Amino acid sequence: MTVYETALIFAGIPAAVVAVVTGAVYGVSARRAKRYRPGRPFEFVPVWFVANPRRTTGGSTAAGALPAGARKGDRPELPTGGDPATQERSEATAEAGVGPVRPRGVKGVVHGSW
Amino acid sequence: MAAGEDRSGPATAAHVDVLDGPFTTRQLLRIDEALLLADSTTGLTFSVYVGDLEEPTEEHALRLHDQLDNSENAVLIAVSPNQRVLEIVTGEQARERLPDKYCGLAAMSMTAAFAGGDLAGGIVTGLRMLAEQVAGRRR
Repeated sequence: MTVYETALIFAGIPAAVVAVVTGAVYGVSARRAKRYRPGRPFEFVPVWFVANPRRTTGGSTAAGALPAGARKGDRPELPTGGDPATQERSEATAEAGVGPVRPRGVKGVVHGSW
Repeated sequence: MAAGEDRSGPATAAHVDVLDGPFTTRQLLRIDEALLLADSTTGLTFSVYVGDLEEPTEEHALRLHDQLDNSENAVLIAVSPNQRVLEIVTGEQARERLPDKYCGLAAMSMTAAFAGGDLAGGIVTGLRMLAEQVAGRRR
């Protein structure tokens, strides 16, 4: 056997096996990396789902402005795209006095953490 | 079905702007279905927010709930994966049909799913539990 053949058998084949196994292990998770894992930072745009956007005040105009129907086969009443503008507006209105004025203890708030 | 089509051809590059969230198309459809079912069976307005909440998170969730039209009949599920916090806000009318005790039960099973990394599954489970609770009490 030449040196070249020896290197190919004793280094090339193990390297190929390692590459295949690594690809099998990490390839799948890399393709599906777009998910939430507890403990890792969640860096997605906030989303707010409402079944019927006509029932929302803040979301009615925003839902129309979102790229509704861009995703094929999806119902237009699902405003998936979170837009920070809506949030900022809501925070602005809340700071304008909507939030603090409302009497407390009427709505139910249940807190959970994990 | 759209979910099947999308699965056969990923086409992620074309959909990346719309599917920028943490959910796949199939998960979005499941959430959509659960929301529609919850709304139609109970007559309440269910909504789900997934994103960061300002501290105090309870106040922020209440502000978001205030934004919903007919908020006295609305139920908001606010999930903040970064803060690992879940808030379920029920409006004045909705609270009579959906007592805090049952929201707490739903919250427990939702947080169990979230702790396992299953955001969509937890949301769908919570919506189902809340809707079944309201529908069951009406009977």
